[in-house]
Amino acid sequence: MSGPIPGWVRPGGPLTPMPDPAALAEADAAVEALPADAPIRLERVSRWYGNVVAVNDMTFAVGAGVTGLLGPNGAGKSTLLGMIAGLLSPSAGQVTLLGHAAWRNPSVYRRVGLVPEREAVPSYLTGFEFARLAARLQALPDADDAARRAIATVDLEAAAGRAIGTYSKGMRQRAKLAAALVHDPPVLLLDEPFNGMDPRQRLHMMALLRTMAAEGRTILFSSHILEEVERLAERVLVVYAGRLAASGDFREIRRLMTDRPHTFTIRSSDDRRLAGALMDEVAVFGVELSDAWLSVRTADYAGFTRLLPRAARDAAVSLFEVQPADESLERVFEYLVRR
Amino acid sequence: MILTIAGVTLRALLARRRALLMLLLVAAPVALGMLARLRGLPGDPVERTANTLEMTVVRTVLPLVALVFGTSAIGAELEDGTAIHLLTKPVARWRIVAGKLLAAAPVTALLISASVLATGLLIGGERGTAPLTTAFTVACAIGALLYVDVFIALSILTSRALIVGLIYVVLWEGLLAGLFEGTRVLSIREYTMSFAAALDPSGTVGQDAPLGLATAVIASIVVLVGAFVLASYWLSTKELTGGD
Repeated sequence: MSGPIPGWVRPGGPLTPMPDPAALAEADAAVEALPADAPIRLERVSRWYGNVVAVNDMTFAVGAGVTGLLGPNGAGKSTLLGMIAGLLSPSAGQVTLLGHAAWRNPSVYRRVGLVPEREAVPSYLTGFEFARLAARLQALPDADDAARRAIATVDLEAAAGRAIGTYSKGMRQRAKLAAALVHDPPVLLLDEPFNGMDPRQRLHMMALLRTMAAEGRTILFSSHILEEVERLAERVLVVYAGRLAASGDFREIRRLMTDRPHTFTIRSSDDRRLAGALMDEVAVFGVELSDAWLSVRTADYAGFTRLLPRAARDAAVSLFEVQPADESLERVFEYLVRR
Repeated sequence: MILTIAGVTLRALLARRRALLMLLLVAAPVALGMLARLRGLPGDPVERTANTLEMTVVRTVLPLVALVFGTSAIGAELEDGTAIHLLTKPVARWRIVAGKLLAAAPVTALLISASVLATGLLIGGERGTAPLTTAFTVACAIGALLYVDVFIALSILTSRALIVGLIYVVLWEGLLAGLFEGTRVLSIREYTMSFAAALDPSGTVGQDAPLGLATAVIASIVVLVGAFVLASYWLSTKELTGGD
């Protein structure tokens, strides 16, 4: 049999269900709502590799300030950043960087700095030479001075004369940042910038990024670590399985993450009696009893951890094991997508 | 800009172990020449020099050295991921290719020319082979430029440029060009031999040169420009992943 399958569409990519008109209208409205002057704009962007969809129909804009791109490993963050940075072509949709198409447009790099995740840096160059090379390729009038300033900004002066091949992972990250900052770009894209940094370097980099954001720069950084994003980003884009699970103010997203249903797995001296005691609690909205354990669902994570010992004591039950069953970030992201 | 790229590429090419290996490779014909000199081989020195230079340098060392330097100039950076630092700068892709060519081609030409000169002078010595050796030196320098240009383009197109290049040198140039005359039009080795024949005043090389000079010149220009344009285009459409 050949020809199109009714209800399915394959726009040069993987076979996907035909979107319903309401969803299409919603997607169009999302594009319409994007601020026209945002430095980074993605309009219904998808990227697939063969039949694998890495990024699925994403629409968002990123403005001045620090925005965190949060998601577990393999969620599509690097693919997304790659498309924003003009390193990958979108399979569908449009990516614009400072008002210009990002793909096949090297001139945008005059105003964009990129810190890629990959560690690869020419090992035979010194830190200073690497930054100076970036300055020369940016055609800056005084490459030496620009390189010196960038090296000082990332606090790498002491090791600037050493070959990068001898650097630690954190030092390499800073060398890459120096090269990305050498031309003072208004847009900075960073892919997992804190990888390999020790706590002191991490704090220094965070302070640096905050300062640059306060100067009006647009900074988009990716991370799979919630705490990093929490400490730095004002806005967040949560990506899971190639989809935009949530976007907006970080505190709002954090509230959604915290208020979601949590499941605890409990083993005690008398699971049945404890189940009965917990069912009377307002914070508990589901109890499941099995031969080996008791599973309890609650909407109030912190409240439940306080009430459980009290309920167990009142019911004269000893607690052997209390395990939050779904505390991995994967599950949090999954919840946000399903929401 | 082109000079900046050429400078850093040159450093990358010469900083690695491959430079030493290439030195050993270009030294092989010289060692052969020295041996021939010591043993005092009989026969016409001009003919013997021409044959040795063709068999050792033009057929073997030149394409191999050009293959290694040509595919390393940008292919190694694309392979290990360091190319991202170059490709995220506001530099036109043709300038990047030009910078790579400007580094890899002279290095190859210099090494090969030194090898040709030393080998030719050792074998022929003072017995009237200097013009022939000069002809081979110039022809090999042009051949180096063409090979490197093609191999740079190949390394942008495929991550298996070294293997594809070897197949081209061994199968296409080594086997097919000897069997089918038509394939010689697409053989850099044949262009090199044509240039050597045209520059050789003794006429020794010209006896077997199958490709006319005009054809070789036109084909060389087409290959040089074509490979350069394709390399620039392929580089502009090259996708890079910045992460895992």
